[in-house]
Amino acid sequence: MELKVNHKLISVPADYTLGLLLKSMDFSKSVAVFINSQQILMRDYDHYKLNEKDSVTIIKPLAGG
Amino acid sequence: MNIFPDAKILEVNLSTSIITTRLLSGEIYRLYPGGSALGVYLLLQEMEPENDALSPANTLIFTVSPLTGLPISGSSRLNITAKGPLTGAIGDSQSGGFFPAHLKLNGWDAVVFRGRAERPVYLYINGDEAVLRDAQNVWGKVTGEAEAIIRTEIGVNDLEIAQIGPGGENLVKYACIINQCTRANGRTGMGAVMGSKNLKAVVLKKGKPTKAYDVDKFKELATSVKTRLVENEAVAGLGKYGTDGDLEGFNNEGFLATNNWTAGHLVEGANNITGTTMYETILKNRDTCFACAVRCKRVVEIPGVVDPLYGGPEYETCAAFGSYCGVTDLETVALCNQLCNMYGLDTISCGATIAFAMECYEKGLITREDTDGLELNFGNHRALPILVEKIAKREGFGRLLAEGSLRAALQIGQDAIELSISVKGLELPAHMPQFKPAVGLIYAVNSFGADHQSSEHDGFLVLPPDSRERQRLAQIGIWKGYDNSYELDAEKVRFALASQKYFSILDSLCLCQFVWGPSWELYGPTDLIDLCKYGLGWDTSLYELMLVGERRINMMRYFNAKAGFTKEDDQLPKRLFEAFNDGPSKGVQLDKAAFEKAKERYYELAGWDTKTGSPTEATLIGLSLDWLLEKDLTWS
Repeated sequence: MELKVNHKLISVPADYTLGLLLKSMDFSKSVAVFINSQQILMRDYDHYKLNEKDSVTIIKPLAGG
Repeated sequence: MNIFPDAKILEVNLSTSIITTRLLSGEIYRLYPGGSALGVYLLLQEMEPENDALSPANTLIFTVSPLTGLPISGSSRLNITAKGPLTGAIGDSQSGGFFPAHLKLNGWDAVVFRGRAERPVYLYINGDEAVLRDAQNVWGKVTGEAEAIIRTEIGVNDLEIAQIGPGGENLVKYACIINQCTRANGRTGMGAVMGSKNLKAVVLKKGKPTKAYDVDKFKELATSVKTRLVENEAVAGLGKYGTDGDLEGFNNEGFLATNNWTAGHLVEGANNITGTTMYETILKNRDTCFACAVRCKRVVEIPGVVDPLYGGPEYETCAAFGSYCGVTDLETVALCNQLCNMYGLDTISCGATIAFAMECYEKGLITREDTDGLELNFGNHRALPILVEKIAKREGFGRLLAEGSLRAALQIGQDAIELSISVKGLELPAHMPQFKPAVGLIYAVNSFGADHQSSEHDGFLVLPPDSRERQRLAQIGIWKGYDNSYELDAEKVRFALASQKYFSILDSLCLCQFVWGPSWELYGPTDLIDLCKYGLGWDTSLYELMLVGERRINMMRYFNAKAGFTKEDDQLPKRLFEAFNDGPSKGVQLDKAAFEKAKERYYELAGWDTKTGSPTEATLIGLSLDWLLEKDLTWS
């Protein structure tokens, strides 16, 4: 199925979870995720099922010293 | 529970060579329990803030805390306080390494230096014994050479040495104090103050290990670091890739300060100077501080060019000598980092001042006649190491740049002043207020100038409410989340102030902000209470500690007011309120009106007079700082 992730179109298998998406994009779980503008709780990342045409925004807090 | 320990203070009068000791009672020490809080408390008793920062009337104070030297990650930080020569405001800086732990393990909470030695000296401390020794043979030597000579001279290996390089000796306004040739009390020019006192180094014989108050529970807290590291990918990543791991991420977002902050991204080559590339190419080792499991310090090597003795660059250094200057050559960045550690210069101010000069050159405000023939266009990486050496030695064009960007701008002329990207004269670190407005607010109001380690960063408020980061922030009263990093509303101001107080605790208890913090770090606020209890037998509360943090901030602000600073000095550079024309952050800007409103709100929440920006009498009394009012009957 097709998703929009951070403004880019990508294809993922059906029944794909948010956890798998984060892993495939090399994100840790310490990120914020908004799906269709709704924030997802961290405890739901692993089992949240993505849907066709979902718009996913992933934000990684950036730091450094 | 223990009663709070007394502070043992070593007082060194460099003018007379007389060394004395005194105790500060635990009752008072508990109000200013080490580090920066103790430093500014002592400084306010020692000197008049109006005095010149490089005169013998300035006092240089090294402090640690009662927790320093306990065998737990992030417990070895050294604070240095004096009036700052770069800004004329309070000066304040922290470093890690092993020196801080061993200062405490020698029995000392603070070392106070007054006056000026007639000839170069260094202080040697071995337990209760402290002597001044002739340093003429190491004056003029770079840090690595001086350290080797001192080790041979004393004849023992188990030493820790904090010293200045030629930069401090030559009174470069942003000279730093370096220990282990790699750990810098970098910001605000403390090395120049040390140089002005003819004090080359402080040398410690290593001390004996100390025991925690509750050995079993302390051990449990300390060894939990293994699990915490596994569970905390942010800190684990910090260990692997260093503080520079996110540089490319900043660039992709369009918030990597570039070409003296005229752009938010490098069009190409950012990947060359990011922590992952460093890891894959020149990283030789990961170094650590006393008892710390994180091992975030870089050690890099480029045979024939960069010596691992001088460590490796942090994110700030990669930005300052990299993107600030339009440079993407990792070898140049690593070499400039080495030169700064050899000569004892703050990498942020040094790189930023060179970037300022590059923009002056590109705009025709200076020419090759001014720059000793150097082409100073952005991206000319070959000019950087040459300039670092000129600055450290105050040679040619380096004499001007040794003054920092603001003073240099004042000499170049009116058009150059806006090109100095600084607050109170302290050059901005590489976190853009357009992206992190709460950090920008603290840049503006912070007493010692723009600092990225004085409050938590906005991005963590974007995480969901069940994240560890947000749960911990809730412990200090921060409840609101955001769907982006850019917003600056009233709750964001509360966040800025509350997290500033928390970071102020950490700088007082001398704890590393990558290990101990209010959100993403390894240990959170409740762990801090446990550390005090199990480590010292200090039965404290978050309430007491937040007061400590607030007390320090207000003492600093008082110092500044007496030194002539007002709210007019709490200004961000004009450039930050203008939108970028291209790149990923095109159109994003910091709203000037919203920012000014936030600043007013900050003053109100901080208990500061909105007309002057100084703490009110009631605020000082509320923090048990009424002794300042007794010193100054005209305050109100």
